[in-house]
Amino acid sequence: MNSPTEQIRTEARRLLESGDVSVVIGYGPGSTPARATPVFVRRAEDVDRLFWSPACAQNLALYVREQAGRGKVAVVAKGCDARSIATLIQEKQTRREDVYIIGVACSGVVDPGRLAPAGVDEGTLKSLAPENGGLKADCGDRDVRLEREMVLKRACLFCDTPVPPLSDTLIGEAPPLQPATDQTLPEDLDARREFWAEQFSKCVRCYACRQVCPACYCKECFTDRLPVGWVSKRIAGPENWMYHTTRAFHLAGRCVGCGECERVCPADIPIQTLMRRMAGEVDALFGYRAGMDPDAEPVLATYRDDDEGPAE
Amino acid sequence: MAETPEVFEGAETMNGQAAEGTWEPKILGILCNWCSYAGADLAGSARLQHPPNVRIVRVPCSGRVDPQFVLKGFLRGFDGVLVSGCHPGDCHYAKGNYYARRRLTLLTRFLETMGIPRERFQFQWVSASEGARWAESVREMTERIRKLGPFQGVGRPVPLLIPVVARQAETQPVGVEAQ
Repeated sequence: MNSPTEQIRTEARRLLESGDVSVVIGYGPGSTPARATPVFVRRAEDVDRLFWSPACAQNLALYVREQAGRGKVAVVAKGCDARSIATLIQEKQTRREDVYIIGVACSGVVDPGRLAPAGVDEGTLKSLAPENGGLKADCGDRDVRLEREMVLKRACLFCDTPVPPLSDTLIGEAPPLQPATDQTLPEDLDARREFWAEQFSKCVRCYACRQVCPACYCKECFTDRLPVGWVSKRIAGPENWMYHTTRAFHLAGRCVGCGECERVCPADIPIQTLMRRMAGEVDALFGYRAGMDPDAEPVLATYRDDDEGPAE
Repeated sequence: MAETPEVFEGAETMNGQAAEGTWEPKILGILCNWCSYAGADLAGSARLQHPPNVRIVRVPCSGRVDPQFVLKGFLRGFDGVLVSGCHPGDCHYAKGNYYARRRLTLLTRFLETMGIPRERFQFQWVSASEGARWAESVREMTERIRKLGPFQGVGRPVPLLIPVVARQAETQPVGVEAQ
């Protein structure tokens, strides 16, 4: 069978030649074998710019909204990315008929920031390929076997939707993976408060987490509002706490757990630990998981008469 | 926000008093105009004794309560937050409290993730005729918070560098070195 890269190119060529879509948003090789870069292919002869590798970390749903109204787009989407697109459809940021999802079954993508701690020099890395449930890194003079736990984007270790629940064509097969359980958060409440105080004190308010998030599409974010009032821009523990808790709540029932926020965070804040908890609570309370059904009402934009609540 | 409303100023002062042993629980109450606010008013007119520890903010509907209001209450040092609205089915705007119920039930659980015990946040229904229920809930919550003690606050104290730099920027013209 053809490689995923070949299949993506074939599909992209077909879509562009037939004029079904105006652009294919996918991944191209980045500056090192551990990095990919988003590419926008508009002509059939350019499809060779597309590729697939364990480096394809970005959530390309981020670009779907800005293409809305410019005709149909095709997007290469992993499980999480497809769920992001479904969320955008639910929230009427794009229409199902305007997106063609080239789904890719994914066994996890690499966080380049974790290579050095795993003993791999990204500068001399020649190639990075999947191998027996892990990865093989060709470092020029030697091959290094890398376990998933060492180098994958952390969110990938907790992934339970490697196959896009929504796609127009599907490439690859479901990998046999068991999602891990997040045990980062202490059980004791005081310890938790202290844990978050410690984590958020590292935040420099660069807003990379917000910029990279396909669900953070407000034209004006609460934290950018002037005059400064509800959430101060001061870079300090309590204000950072306010920023992150509010953002978590704004993403309640909307975050699909792609983990891009965490990957791009320069301060290494475990944002997904917060988001996973929130998603878990939403599932427990309302039996709802973000982005699994493009026709579902967004969970906090609706209600049921028998929702859990205070005693009457 | 040009100036801090008094309701928030009070909370910060109260934290200061904690060290001196005169601590009293300070509770932020967010009440819907149509039911709970009227219920609290009724408790007052009926001379029902209840502790003065709740500072009330009136909102049009419990559906108006952004979870941020609650988070902000804890940020500014309140020891507890109480949100009170119309019973399900009684909402003046038909369904505002149903949306509030989803949001605030989720918030209750989320607070525990943040390390804030759910006892510090109360979400309840009080109708305009339930003055006694209001008074009882305030008594009950005040005593509960008193047992829990002062809220320890969120986040680490402010690093000194940031405000100093900000202050310099205010007093020094751009591009001029400090003497």
